[in-house]
Amino acid sequence: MTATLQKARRVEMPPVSGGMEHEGPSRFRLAVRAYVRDKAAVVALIVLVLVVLAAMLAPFLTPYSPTEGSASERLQGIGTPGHPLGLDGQGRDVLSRILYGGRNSLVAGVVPVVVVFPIALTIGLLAGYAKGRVGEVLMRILDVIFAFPLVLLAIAIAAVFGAGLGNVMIAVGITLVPYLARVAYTATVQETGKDYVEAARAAGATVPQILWRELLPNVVSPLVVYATTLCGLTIVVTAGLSFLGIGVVPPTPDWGIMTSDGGKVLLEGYVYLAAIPGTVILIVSLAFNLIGDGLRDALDPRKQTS
Amino acid sequence: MTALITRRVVSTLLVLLGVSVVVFLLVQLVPGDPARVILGQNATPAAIAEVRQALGLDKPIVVQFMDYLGGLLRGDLGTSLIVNSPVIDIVLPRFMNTLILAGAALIICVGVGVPLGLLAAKKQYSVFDRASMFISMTGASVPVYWMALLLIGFFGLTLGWFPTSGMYDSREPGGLPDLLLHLVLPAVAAALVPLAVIARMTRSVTLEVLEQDYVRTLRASGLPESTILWRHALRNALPQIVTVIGLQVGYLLGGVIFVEVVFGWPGLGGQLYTSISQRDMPTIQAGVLFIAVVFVAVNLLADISVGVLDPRSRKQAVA
Amino acid sequence: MTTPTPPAKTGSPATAPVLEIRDLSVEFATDSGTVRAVDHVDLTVEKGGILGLVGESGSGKSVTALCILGLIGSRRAKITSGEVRFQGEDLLTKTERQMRDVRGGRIGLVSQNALSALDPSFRIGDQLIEVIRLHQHVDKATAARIALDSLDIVALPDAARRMRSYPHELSGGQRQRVVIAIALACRPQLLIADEPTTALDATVQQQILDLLLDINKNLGTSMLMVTHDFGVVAHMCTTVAVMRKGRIVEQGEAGEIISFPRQPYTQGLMNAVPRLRLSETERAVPRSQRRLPVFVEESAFAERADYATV
Repeated sequence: MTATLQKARRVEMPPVSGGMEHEGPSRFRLAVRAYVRDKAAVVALIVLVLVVLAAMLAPFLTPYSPTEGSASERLQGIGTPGHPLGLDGQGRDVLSRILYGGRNSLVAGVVPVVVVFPIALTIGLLAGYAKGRVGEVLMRILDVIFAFPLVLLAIAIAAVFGAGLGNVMIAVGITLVPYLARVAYTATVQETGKDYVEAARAAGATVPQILWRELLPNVVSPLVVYATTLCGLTIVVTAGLSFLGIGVVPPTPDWGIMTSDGGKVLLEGYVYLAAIPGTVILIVSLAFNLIGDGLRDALDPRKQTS
Repeated sequence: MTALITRRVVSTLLVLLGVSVVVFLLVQLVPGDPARVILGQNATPAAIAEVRQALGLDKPIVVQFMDYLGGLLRGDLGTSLIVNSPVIDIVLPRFMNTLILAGAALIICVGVGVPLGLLAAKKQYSVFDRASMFISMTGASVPVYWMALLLIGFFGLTLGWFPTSGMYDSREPGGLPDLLLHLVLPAVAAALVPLAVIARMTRSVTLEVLEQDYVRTLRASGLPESTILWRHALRNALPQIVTVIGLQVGYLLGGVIFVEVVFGWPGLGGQLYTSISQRDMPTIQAGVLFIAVVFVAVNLLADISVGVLDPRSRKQAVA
Repeated sequence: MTTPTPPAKTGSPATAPVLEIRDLSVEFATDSGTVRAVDHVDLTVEKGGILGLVGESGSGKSVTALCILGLIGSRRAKITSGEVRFQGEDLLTKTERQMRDVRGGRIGLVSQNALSALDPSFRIGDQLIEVIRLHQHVDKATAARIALDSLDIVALPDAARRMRSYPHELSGGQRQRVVIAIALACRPQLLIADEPTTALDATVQQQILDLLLDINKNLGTSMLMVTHDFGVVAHMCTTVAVMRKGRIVEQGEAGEIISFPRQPYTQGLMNAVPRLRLSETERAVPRSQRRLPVFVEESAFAERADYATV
């Protein structure tokens, strides 16, 4: 119902005057209302905000250093007085390492997506609008990149650049470009075929106007949804690179290297040291996925009607 | 039909050519002079020049690539910088081990994921549906390396059911039964994430199929629900399910890398891990190349199966 | 599992109706409360007769038809009252397993979407054989022979070769013939046709209707024709029931109702039929009645375009 109405309205409106801003607020409010209805997505958002806050406020939440421990007090279990999550193999406070490590893990997981987003959007928009040979060539190039499993490509590039948080982010960022660009490309090709773009063209809109005012708002929505879900994946992958020793450099904490450190004492029976950071990764990744699902439904005009 | 297969094979060969370009370029991305990296900071210019010539680094990049490609076609993947033996001899046996692990994981993925998705679709909105979809939503977010460690901790240490490392018992290797015993935990760990995604996708594809008009015709013909689901719905959902499975093999292979590291499985992933820490570029290249080729081959297979499965595309190929 | 029941059950006289629906009500739970889609409906299909169930879309006619087969197909729907007596047995009290023998065995369904009513992944012959073997417990060769007979009955050209075709290789009309063949394969006593010609070209529509009429005459199959088209009723039905908002507003002999509709709604439905189709029935409708200002109180549905287009 709403979908058809919006489409109809968009066709009627002179496209060059920029109909989107006019609809903006009500559309946004509809989306928020639809999002709030999805309980899982709301909980996921709250959890994510709490995790981010905890990582930011780490110095206020824990008195211990995340990188220095005492050799005399190593491998203490959960619930040790003063150390609610215990101490790791080098006598470091696990809670502190989770909180400070969260800064690195969250940044490494999210920043590549955020940085690559506009690049991929531009590539997808231009190639999708040009279609024809440009789009064709681009898709063939992407096919080659897609021949590498995502994790493998990230590992290969990170391996080449060497360890370090910055290198990991570059490696993951490069890996993500084709994934995001393909979604933007597909969305653009789909939208370009619709009536309102035809109407804008007929009304004499220039190519930049069509791209910026007509296509962009409709391509951004699916891309935001996809990017959110991708964050759930990049959190796992970047931590995984640290797990393999090509991420953060010790003693810098992050959830991946903590899982790896925990793995080293696993056979001595200290399962919790690997279990805790991995669980945090899982929770954050799941939160991103649920938020992505919630956004997808919230931005879908067909599901906005109450 | 043959036309369809030919077309797919040709485009796959082009993709493989692109893959070799990317793998070749990987070395070019290494910061600094590879010769200097090999010889260390204190090498003399003469020694560096000698190594550069030996590695062909003094030639134009296009020539270098042609040399590399020529080597690939002859099965020559270069020489390891560390152990001084042909890379192919290092990589090939490990590649077989990786295929065993990945194959086992794939069997679990498909064997559990597809029926799970079908049943969830059949019982849409039931407790079973909600529970299995929540679990698979969570499962899709699971870090493989963490899952692998937890499996070791629980089934290996606490319960002591399965060995926690390697492919065979190191003291008395016991052939196939021993291999299978060692295979269980790594295969389950590698299967989990793609299994979750396959179950979710199977469910949504099956739901779509069950809404089709012909399902009503089948019901009105008196067919039992089980026949409708396992024969007709599955058959019609299969092309899409196969496509999803093909793509999920990518995640599966990525996960296998971690699983091999955690379980000490003597495969490509474990080798990649070692080679990365040693900065042994030719071996890294070979590992990456082999995994990519497997992924491409699986998707070619999936593409062709989809063509064979769908009578409509079969018809088109003939016309 | 039992073999298909012979047409006339012992105890029921030859003139007993094949199908009797008494006081049937179906309710749908929606977000904005309960909607009664079928409201205390009574219907009778005489043995060998064709009952036309007529109404606009959403009037509850399709739901009624699917109720007979126990296939309402929505977990929000509930049958709240009534009985569906088929050859003396109440179908509503049967178990799902018993109903499976009725479906396709004793009652056949021809559904409205001819183009998508066949499973696209299976050969025509295999789909027929599957149903035949399900109900008749014969070996594959016998089933294939029965299948071929069925395709001959529906006059599918080149039937033997078509057995090996996939649905997409057939035209819409041919596909609907196959659907009818499947529905008839086990010689049901009742055939439910739910708008069987909707998806088809005008010329093909006529052929399909004539085919159904032939089947009724030659095989004696009783039929329930669900339609919104009074032209169809005039062409083939012996009795007719007009349905509106879940209720039967008028029913009786087809000729009589076409000639003297008592309800303005019925009149409206008749007027909505394309001229071409109505020509023969038009003569039967007195001029005075045709000019009655029937749309005054029914303006809401008079605006609907459905009737003119199909």
